[in-house]
Amino acid sequence: MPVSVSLPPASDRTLPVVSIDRLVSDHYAAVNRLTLSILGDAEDADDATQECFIAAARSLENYRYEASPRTWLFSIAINSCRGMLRKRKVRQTINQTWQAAQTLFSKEIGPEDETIHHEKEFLLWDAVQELDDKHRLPVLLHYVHGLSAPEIAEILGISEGTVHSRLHYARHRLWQQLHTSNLFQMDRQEASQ
Amino acid sequence: MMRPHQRARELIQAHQDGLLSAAQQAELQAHLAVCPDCGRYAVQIGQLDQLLTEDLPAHVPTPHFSDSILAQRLSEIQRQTRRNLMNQRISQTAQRVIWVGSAIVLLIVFALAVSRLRPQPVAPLAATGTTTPAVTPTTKPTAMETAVETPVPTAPVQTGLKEYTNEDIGIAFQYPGGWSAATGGNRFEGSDGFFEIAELPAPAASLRQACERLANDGSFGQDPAVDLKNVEDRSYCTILTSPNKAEDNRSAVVIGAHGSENGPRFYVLSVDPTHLESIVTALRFTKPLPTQAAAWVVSTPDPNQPAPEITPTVQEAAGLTIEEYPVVSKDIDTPGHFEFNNRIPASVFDKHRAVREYNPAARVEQNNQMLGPFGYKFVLKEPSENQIYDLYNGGALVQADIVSMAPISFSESGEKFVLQIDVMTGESFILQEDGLHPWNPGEHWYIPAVYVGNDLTWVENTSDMNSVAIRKGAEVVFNFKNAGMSPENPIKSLWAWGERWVAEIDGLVYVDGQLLNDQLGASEVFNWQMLQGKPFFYFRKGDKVQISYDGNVLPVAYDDVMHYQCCEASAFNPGGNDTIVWFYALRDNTWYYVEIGKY
Repeated sequence: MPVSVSLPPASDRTLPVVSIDRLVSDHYAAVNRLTLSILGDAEDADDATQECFIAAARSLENYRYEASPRTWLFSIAINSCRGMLRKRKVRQTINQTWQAAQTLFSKEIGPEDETIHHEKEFLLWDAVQELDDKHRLPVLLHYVHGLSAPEIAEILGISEGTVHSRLHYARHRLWQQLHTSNLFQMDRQEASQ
Repeated sequence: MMRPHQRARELIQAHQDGLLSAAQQAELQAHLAVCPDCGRYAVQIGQLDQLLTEDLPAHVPTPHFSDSILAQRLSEIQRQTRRNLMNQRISQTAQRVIWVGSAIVLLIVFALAVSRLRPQPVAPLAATGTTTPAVTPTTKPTAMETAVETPVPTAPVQTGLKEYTNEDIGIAFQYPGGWSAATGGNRFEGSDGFFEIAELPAPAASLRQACERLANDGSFGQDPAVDLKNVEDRSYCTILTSPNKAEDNRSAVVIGAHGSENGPRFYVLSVDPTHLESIVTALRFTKPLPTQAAAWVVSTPDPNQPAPEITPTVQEAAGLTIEEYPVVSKDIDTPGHFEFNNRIPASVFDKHRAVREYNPAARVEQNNQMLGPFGYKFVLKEPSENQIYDLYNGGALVQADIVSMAPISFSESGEKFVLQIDVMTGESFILQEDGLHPWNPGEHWYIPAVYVGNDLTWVENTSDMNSVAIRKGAEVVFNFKNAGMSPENPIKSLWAWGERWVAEIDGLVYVDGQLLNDQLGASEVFNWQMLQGKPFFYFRKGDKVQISYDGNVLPVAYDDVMHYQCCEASAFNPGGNDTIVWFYALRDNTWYYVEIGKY
């Protein structure tokens, strides 16, 4: 029995057809991990992931195979996260006073803290979070999600050279922030033990 | 001039990403040998990279979703998608009502229109909102769409921006309020800049190709920056003129892709460089691409039923025999999966199998004959079925364990040759008359070097992997900028055609730097090759794919020829050697398997 599937126009066909079911089963967990690494909040990450796949489902027929499905989904997810961060910024501004009062009385425990097992990891993660988004995103995509410079370039819509220069700058900023800390000293002590 | 420590630290960072050339590596080593501070920096950056690699991923747990949760999420996605679609239809219906109400006005506008492009500059954006109900935010609830909502109605009034909308192309963006329309209505300009919209004059097969074609037409200098980008689900491309090219103020361009019933159309938005970023940042697409996707059908033939014999249509043209085998209706199956070939009886493939199939033993025998005068000989290792060879010269082993070799290319004088060989260790070399030389295929886009006339000619990529250069002898004779990274190799082949070189890049074929597509008025030229020492290639002109051989257009035309397919479907791309070509083509709803050759 023939099965109808929708392919893009002949001139754009380079990859087999993809369906939203397949995208969800293959990439949902990876996209969720990406949004979690950017947003640092499981609930926001869930919302951003759903938004990403809803946008993908709507855009699927126009998907031009310019990128791999994972790269394409990651670029949509990052847009979802940016929207989420914008909303969060507005929320944060409104609740600034309340939040300031909260922090006077209790240390806010974020979900990322649960995975911190080591002081140096805390220092490093904290320093990465303090980078601006322009430099934080390439670091997260490269070191947390294991993406190559060409893939990051495609996701962020920048050149590969720019990806490298942002990684260079980010590492230099992290070094500036951490080289006076005991991060590297601890390593040396650990190495000598 | 850059200070030595600053330079060293940049080299250290580049080293961390594996980007240093041998010369830069030596330069860095020399500095580190005399500078303990930079040495410490190098060690700590290395440690930092290791810490980031090893420790950072642990901060983000890998979530696990059970099948039932995934099914639940999928169901929610599908429900939401349907709801969005419904909202969109409601909105479109509302739009139609408004349009009907404005029918008289529209008729007058259309009657007066002298161009396809109908720009609508609207000073206060709030007024635009009333004429473009299709982009009401209620139909766009996702975060991606939030980006589209960013220009809120009052912003232009506050910042002195105006909004430009063009319903034909389906784009909108903001531009400085002081600019006014120039003659023709497709250009707006002020004392500090301009933008202008025009349809891309030459046909193109895809956005990537349209962008690359424009970026490499010479008007943007030798080294334009080309980037494919996305807004929502729509792609566009930016081209920045080379930094060293200042004489033309049309130095930045955006291409907007727009489909129509007759195929894709592309528009060029020329912007002065100062305003490119602000205009691109505010760029919105106001209507989706029309659905062009044909319903391609895939089915699997019964493996127990032998394929019925097929009678080909046979004709002779330009000294070639053309055999077309009608295989199946496109309503039943599409080439692209291995089972498709089960629809074609073995007798069809057997007919010219001897000349069609690559025969490594025959190639080695042929290579040995040609290399004999230079003293080289390939010898098959035992067991012979592994087809691994050792290379000797006058009895001395030159290279062991050769697993594959490209065709030999000779210089016009016959005194020089080049032959790429790959060995079991994964290394590659080029063999020349003076011996074996290291060759990294990745630095050459995996395209073997050839002799053009008496000049060794080869392809080079650059460190940013965004361009293709062709070097003939000592001179770079061609530079091509790619529109961003692609999983596919941008350059498909490099051929020597007597004294000329021919390079095929993303459906564009350059002969000695001249674009063949321009000469033919073709949107795409592909699978250029030599057949019986004469050029053979496919080209798409209008809605037909035709074939050129030795300057003649063959008397066959198709609606489509499978090509540039990836993965499993690549088995259905056109193939060929010096005797025969074969391909899968669609005509009048029927898929054909076609062989053309001189036997």
